[in-house]
Amino acid sequence: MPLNPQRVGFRYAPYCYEVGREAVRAYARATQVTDERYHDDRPAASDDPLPVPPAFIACVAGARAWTRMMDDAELGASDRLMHVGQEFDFQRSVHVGDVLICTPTITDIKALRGVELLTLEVECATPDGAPAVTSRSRLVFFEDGA
Amino acid sequence: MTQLTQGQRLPERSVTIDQATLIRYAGVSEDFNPLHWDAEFAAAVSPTGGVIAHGMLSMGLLSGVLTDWLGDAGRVRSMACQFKAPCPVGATLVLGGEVVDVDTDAGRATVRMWARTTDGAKVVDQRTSRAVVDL
Repeated sequence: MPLNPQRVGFRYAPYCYEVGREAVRAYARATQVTDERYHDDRPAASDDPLPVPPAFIACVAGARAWTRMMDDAELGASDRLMHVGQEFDFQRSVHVGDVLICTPTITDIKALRGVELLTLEVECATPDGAPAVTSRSRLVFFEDGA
Repeated sequence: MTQLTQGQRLPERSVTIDQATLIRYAGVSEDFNPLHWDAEFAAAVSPTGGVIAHGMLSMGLLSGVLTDWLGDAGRVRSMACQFKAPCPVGATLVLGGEVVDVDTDAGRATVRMWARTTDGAKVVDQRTSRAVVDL
């Protein structure tokens, strides 16, 4: 079933993501970051906030945004998809302890040689509305039976 | 902190992508697409006919190569990766990068980044994958 092009521009309900030290630690282990600040067993120094690995934003702008998109009956997304590209643009650095309000939007759908290419953008801002980071995921959806 | 000059190359890192690596990444990212752990599902859907790694795992490993070298993850202003070839489970990825532009007026440098298997598959394509970092 093709994607519904009328969904371009649709903004899903925002959600709040709290950047936790243990989530960042687990991410750093899974992606083999060696910087010892991500593996420190001592209590965190409150005057030295730890910046997150840039691709950690995949955890912030990933699962919950994707669930909204996949559960969107109006969009009609199937699970036959591949992630073909990803961008993170930081308007400010993100640190452990930050609270981000994340708003997913479908910004593009186009047909391309028997597949469909969808762009899902997630704008993450501080609770007072200052932009922090924008995530753009490019996804290819295959037709059933393709 | 690392000072950046054009032509500088990041120290390459090799990582073998076994099933445990994928399961660990699925857990931390909450990306439980069966393409990354279910051989039967992957056989029907995957471009390789088998389990493949998350594109975002390749990007995450590259992110680590970059920030371990920079010495401060807070210097990264943007990162963009194109996932071109699939990375099959069991493959070894070679991850690297090179400083391709230094703009002292803007205080920024551009780093080209790549991840390829030891068989030469371009998992993260260096032609279209970049990070922009503070000098």
